[in-house]
This record gives sequence, C-alpha cells and structure tokens, in this order.
Amino acid sequence: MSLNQWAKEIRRNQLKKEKDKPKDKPVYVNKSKIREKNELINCLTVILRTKGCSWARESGCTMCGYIYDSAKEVEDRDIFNQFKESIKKYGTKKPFVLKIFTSGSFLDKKEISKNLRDKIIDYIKREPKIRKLIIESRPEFITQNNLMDLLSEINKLEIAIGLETTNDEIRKDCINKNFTYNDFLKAAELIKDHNINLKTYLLLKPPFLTEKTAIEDIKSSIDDLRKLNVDKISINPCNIQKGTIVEYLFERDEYNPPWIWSLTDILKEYASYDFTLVSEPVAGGKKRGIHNCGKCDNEVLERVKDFSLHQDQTVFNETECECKLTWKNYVEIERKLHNTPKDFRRSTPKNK
Amino acid sequence: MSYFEVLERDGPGRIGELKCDQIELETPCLIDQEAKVRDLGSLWGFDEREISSDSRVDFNILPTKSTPPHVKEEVFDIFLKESIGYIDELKEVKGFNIPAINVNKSTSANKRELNKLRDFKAVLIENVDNLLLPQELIESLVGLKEKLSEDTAIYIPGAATPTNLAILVYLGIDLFDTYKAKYYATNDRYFTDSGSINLGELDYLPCNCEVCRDKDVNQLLSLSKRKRIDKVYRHNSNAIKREINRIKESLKKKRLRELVEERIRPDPEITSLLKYLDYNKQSFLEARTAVTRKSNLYANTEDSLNRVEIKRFRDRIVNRLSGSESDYLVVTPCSARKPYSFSKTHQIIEKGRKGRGDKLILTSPLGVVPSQLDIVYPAQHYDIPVIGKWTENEKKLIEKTLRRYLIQKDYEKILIHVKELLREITERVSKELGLDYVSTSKGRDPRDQESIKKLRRELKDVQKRINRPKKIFRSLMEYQLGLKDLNYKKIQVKGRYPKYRFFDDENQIATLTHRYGFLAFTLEGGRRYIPKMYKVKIENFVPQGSVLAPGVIEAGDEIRPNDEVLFEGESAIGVGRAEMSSLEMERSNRGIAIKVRHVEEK
Repeated sequence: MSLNQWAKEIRRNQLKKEKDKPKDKPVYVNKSKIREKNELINCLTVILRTKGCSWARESGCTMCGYIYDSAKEVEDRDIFNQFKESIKKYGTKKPFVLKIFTSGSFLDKKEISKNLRDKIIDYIKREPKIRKLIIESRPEFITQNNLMDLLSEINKLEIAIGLETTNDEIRKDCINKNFTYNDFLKAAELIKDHNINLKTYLLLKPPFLTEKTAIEDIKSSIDDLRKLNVDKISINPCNIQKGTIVEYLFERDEYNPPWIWSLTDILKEYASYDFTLVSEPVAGGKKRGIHNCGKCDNEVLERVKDFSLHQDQTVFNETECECKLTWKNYVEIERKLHNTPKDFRRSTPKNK
Repeated sequence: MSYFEVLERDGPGRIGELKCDQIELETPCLIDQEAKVRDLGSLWGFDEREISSDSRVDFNILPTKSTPPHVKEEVFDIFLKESIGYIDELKEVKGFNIPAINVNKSTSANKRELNKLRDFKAVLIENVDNLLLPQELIESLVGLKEKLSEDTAIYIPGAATPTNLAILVYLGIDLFDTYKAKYYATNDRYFTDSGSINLGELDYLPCNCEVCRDKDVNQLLSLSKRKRIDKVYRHNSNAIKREINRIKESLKKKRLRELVEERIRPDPEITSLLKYLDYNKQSFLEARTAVTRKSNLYANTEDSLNRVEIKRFRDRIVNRLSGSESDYLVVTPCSARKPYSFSKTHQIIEKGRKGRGDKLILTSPLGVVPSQLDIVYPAQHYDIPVIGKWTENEKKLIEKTLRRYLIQKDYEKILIHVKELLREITERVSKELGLDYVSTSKGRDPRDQESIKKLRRELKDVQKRINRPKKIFRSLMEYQLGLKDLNYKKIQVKGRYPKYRFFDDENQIATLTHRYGFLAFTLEGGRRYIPKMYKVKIENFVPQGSVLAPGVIEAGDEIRPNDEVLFEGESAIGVGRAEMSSLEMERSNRGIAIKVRHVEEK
C-alpha cells in the first residue's frame, strides 16, 4: 500500500462518518485586513462549498481535511447563491480584496463549472469596490485558456498555488501532493506571462520530517522561489485536521505540530527580500496547531500577524520566553533521538 | 581497520570492543560521550554534496527516511527499502559508517534488505523508544538481532535511562547515548534509580554526583532555565554512566540476569519486557546462555522460575537422563547447604538409606534434583528466599517436574521421605502413575529417628549399594553430552569426591570439575565420547591456545558457552571449552570460539 492508498483509506473511513453539509451555506466567510503593495486594505474571504478538491476525492494530501467541508449534491445554483449572499452580507463600503477559495481549485471545472465561473466573474466585474480577486488552484488547472478567460474579464488577479515545498521528494513522500515542482514552474511561468500576481503556499512541517529538517526545507524552498519573481510567499504551519494521515499520527503521539519559534526563525531570516512573506496560521496556539509553551503563544502569534501586515522584522526583537530554550534543544536533538519524543513538553512545569 | 569484537558474554548481553581507525571503545557505552558522532540527518532534503570529510568525526550515522512505527506497514517498508538502498550511494562518505534501520510495531526483521547491513560493524536501530508494547519492542529487537551478525554492535539512540539500560544490554544492545538524558533535562525531568521524576515534585535529591552533592532541590529550581537544564542534564548523564558501570561489572561477574531482575522492578512496562522475553523468546535466550556460570544463581523472584538455566536443568534431567539404577527411589527434601550430600540433613538420611536406592531431592525452582547430580550447575549454585512455605507456583512446578521425571524412569517403589506438603504431592503423583509408594516420614520430620528407622526398614531387602562415582559419571555424560545407553562398566574412578578422575582402559578420559560439576575431557576422552552436537569442524590449521571464530567451519547445534567440545580439522584434533555458542561460532568473524585444553597434530 502506497501513501496514496493509505490516504484514500483514511479518507473513505472518515467520509462514512461525515454528515451531509448544508448546500446553501459557504464553508467560511470572514473580513480581515491584508497587505497589498505597501498598503493595508480590507479583505473578504469566502470559502465556497463545492463538491471538493478533485485530488482529495481521489486520494488527497496527508495534512488536508478540507474535503469533509464539501457537499456531494451541491449544484451550480447553490454555489452561486453562497457567493452572492456572502458578498451582499459582508461586502464593505470601502474597496476590498476578494478571496474566493474552494478548499480545492477554483479553476477546476469539476468544482466550479465553466458556466458558474463565468457567472461569478461577471458579478465581480460589475462590482467596482472589488479591487482584486485572489483565487487558489492546483497547477494542472492553470492553463492558457483558463487564464485568458479570467483575464479578459478581471484586471487585477492573484493566483495562489499550494506548492508546499520545492523539494519533489518531500512533496511526494510526506505530503502526497501529486504534482511536481516542474508542474508548478510551468504554471508559474504562464501566470507571470499574463501579468497575474503569483502567491505560493509553503507547508511548515509535513509529517515524517523533524522540526529541523522542516525549517531547512522551508528555507531552501524560499531560496528557490526567490529566483522566480514570486510576488508573495505564505507559510502554512501544518495543523491537525480530522480524517488525515497527520491526525492518525498525532493521535498516536507520532506527529507534533511545529513550534511558533520555528516560524519566527524563518520570517526573521527572510524579512527583507523583494517578495511579501506572510503567515496566517490555522489553530495557532492550540494543541492541534502551531504552538509554543502556552504562555507566550498569543503574544508571539500577534507578532507574526504584525509581521505579515508590515513586513517589519523588528517586531520580533523583544519576543523571548523560557520555552525558546526548550525549542532550541528540541531542534538540536530530535533527529539524534531517532524517534518521536512523545512527552516533550513545551511548557516548563511549575516550581514549588 | 575497524571491527567489533565480543569479549565477554552473559546470556545475549556482552562486553565488546568497537574499534575504528582513531578510537577504541569498550561497550556497552555512551557513544556520544566517548566519541565524536556525526548524524547525517534525514534523507529528505539531504544533499550529498554537503558532506565534507571531517577528520574529527569518529562515526557517521547514515541518513534515512525515518517514519514513526505506526505508519502503515507497506508505506513504512517503502521508506525502509529506500533508506537501505541509499546506503550504496553513500560509499563516498569516509570513516566508520553506521547505517540506521527503522523498526515498527510488527517486526521488520524478515526483510531481505537487512542482509545488506551484515557487513557493517555497527547498526543503529531507530524508533525503539516509540514502541510502547513489550511485544512490539521485543519482537522487533530480537528479530533484528537474529538477522544481524553477532559481531555487529547494536546502537539504540535516544532511549537509555537508568531503569531500562540493564534489560537493553541483556537483549544484546551495545551502544547508547545521553540524548534522552538531555531531552528529559530540557523537560526538567530528573533521573533516579527507579525512573525519572519532575524536579518540581522532588523533595530531596537522591543522588550524590558532582552536580547534586551539597545541593538541595530548591537550589536547582532557582537556577535560570539554561543553567538548570545544564545541571540536570549532567546529573542525568552521570546517572546513566553509573548504571553502565554497574551493568559492566555484573556482566563481567556473570550476574547480569540478577541485575536485570533487580533493575526492572520500579517500572511495570520494563518488567513486562522481561516477562515477554522469558515467555516468548526462550530459544533466543537459550541459544546464547552459558551452561555454567562463575556466580551463584539467585532465584529471588517469580521471574527467576523462567530462567534459561533453570528450565534447561529441568529439561535435561527429564529428557537426557536415562533409566534408573535401582528399583527403589528415595524422595528427600532439599537443604540450604549445597551440594546436598554435604548437608546435615542428608547425612542423617544416609544413616537410613546407606547408599541404597536412587535418591531424588525435591526443591524449587529446579523442581527435582537427582542426588548424583547435586554438584552440577545450577544445582550446587542456586539459592532462593526461604520462608518455610512453598508458593502455589513452586508447588505446581515441583509436582509437574516430578511427574515428568517419573514418567521417563521405571521405578517399582517410591519411598517418600519428605515433610507433609511435599509428601502429599509425591503420593499424588505416584498414585496417578500407578507406582507403589510408602511414606517413611509421615507426620514426622524426615530427620527424626523414627523416620530414619522406617526408611532403613523399607530398604532392608535391597542389598546392592549404588556405586556413586560411576553413577555420577554416567549421569554427567547424559546430562552434559546427551549420551544414552553408555557402557560404563569398565570405567574406573580415582580420587576423593568430588575430585574424581575417570579412566577407561588405563587412559584418563575426564576429570570432574567440582566447581561447576561438569566433566573436563582429555583428548582421548573427547575423541571417544563427545558426540556430533558438541563437535566443531575447523579449518586446516593447528590451533595454539585458542580457536578463533573465523577458523570455525561448522559447530554442533547444542554448543553453548562453557561447554566441553571436540574440534577437528584436516591437520589437528583437540578438546577445549567453548567460549561462544554454536550460533556465534558460525556467524562471527572475530573472537575466541574455543579455549584449547589439549591439541594434537594429525
């Protein structure tokens, strides 16, 4: 059984347990601020409930459980309503950036049919407050035709690709992503050729990697991406999502989510380059997400947020906590232990 | 030149010498403390070009794709194969290389890839500390041990604690480190002799090492985290160093098993390792356990009842010992003084028995001891805690062994000369087997005058006294060499018990080594009597002093350390004492296999 089949098996078992999801409700709608070309701007994020990521339906990535948000029977009409209602309800008076995610690929016609896509694009085109559209897609759907379709309608566009790492072996062995760096490069070239902004997600600490290797992997990935004229790099710290291989290991004490210190270590090192470097951790500070000792988590995550908005590495200047030493030792000896230290506590026990 | 050579053994545990160009280590040891170890890290993201040859590095740990043990087995196997497959591509890495092999919950020991590791002098086993259940850990470790060569040093990283070290060494692990000590120190966990404890929960420092001397807990707690980790790490390392020395000392004195039984107690998880090992891996232990030991055998716990030496004794007296010398069997109690025949009790009983009828001693944990074998190891060498009562387990064991013993022999009458409880057991067994029996000390102490009189009366028809020296010879030949139907009528015995010398046609054939109760053969004796299962076929050379393992072509299956063996090659024949088991003789490329006593050129 390959990793591929294992992911499939876990997925199948979890899907049996899942209840039907409401077709008319989007998965997630939220307002926030993001950084766009040296200014802060409002941002509306809508995650549409589709039939789910094609790859996840076939097998899926080791850390991704978004497939369980999907609805089997959802139709174009339902999805369009989800979209329209979200914009109406949350659209601000001021100009804003619109992120439309599907937990899959916006350009995948199995998720968003050509017809539905045209309708959504048409709606956006007629909404002047929307300054920019950000969508996500796997590289295989980023084709000349798809891009031309979009561009003829929308003038400001950003496409985000979940590359996760530039290391093909890690992407295959630890993430089960089912595309290569070369696939990404081709898509990236097309995107740049059409003057579309390119955002790349990197995954911090996929399963099987030690904290140290994980940090090194992100750093060497950023080094590779720097050469490509990528506009934005977003680091996604791995979190524990249900019905995934990562969760299976986490439940057996064989996967530990990354430390926030690992993230700040990377952000500091790559703060002053000509791409925007951001991170918006999911489940930050929680047991199932990136975390430190528990005492400093909120403070340090706040700095990460600050950094993502202002790209100013001095925000990290005064972040210190006793647990940073624990992290340092952990990074140093984890590989030497040659096992997953199950009771490595991040917090210091209380003194008498 | 680099090698690993086993110098001393005690069961599967060993003291060895690990040598590479620049360094020589005595194992078991903490490899990170005594050498410079470089871990080349994960194969994911590994860049071969970055490996520079660093002359200060003693050992390189080769990179792997390591996954935790509960990863689906097929996925696990793919990565294991890739990791081992990659070893070939790392030939460029200079120096002493240690490949890492990953184990998971089901044993990965049958993988063909493992053969590739046979040429390495040391192998690292990953994931051991993640294996929670005793069957997972024992199955995978023992499986690997059986697959790898005996002269491969086994390294288990990130696992050593003061409580688990003894059993890990007993399993045949040679190399450890202080990484777990450091990881525990980072978590403010302080090693004690019985495990580890959170520094905050400790009231007194149960240690007198250089870190803890003249300090109290609060002084440690009030240090900055950096200093505290450093201190606790040093203490933790000291605790494992002390344990390593304790283990080596026991191993050298052949008391490792006793130490293991002592050290596992504080932790049920570790205790279950030994239980699992004893119950399920008896053949692994048996194949590596010496037939005699220097030290006494203390059967202090119920676990001792399952020891190899004890089981082996019971099996041999039942299976190897042939028919009875007399039609009568006198069943007698055991004594604290060993050998039994020297004890006061048995001297009194002899007044009634007067050397007539076979004599059997009932005891725990051996079950039964035929009196002619009372000096053989471990009958002369064991001790148990005595409180004047037998435990249920001991009772069952005695009854079971007695039954097995009596079924094999052909006695007509059993004279039961033991106290109440043992009398009941013996009567029950005799009745069950349809043997005629009489209790000669019923309601009395076996040493009581009346008991002795009754015993003498019951034996009045028996004229013939047993020829004890000849009987000892015969039983030893059976017990030690597994010989049957031996014609020993013309054997002559000289000397005073127990310093017997045995002759056949005026040729001396053997001496009784009174310390272990084993026969030591002359060349003539070996040539005449040592059977195939104790013979070693050697290469074409004349050994001086010792036969080394690479000189062994084939070794009889039954050979265990300290066995008497006959070796023969094209140009020489001789007798000597085995230093290794047959398995190790055949699989090792280093070390002394046989210490030669007599050798003759052909």
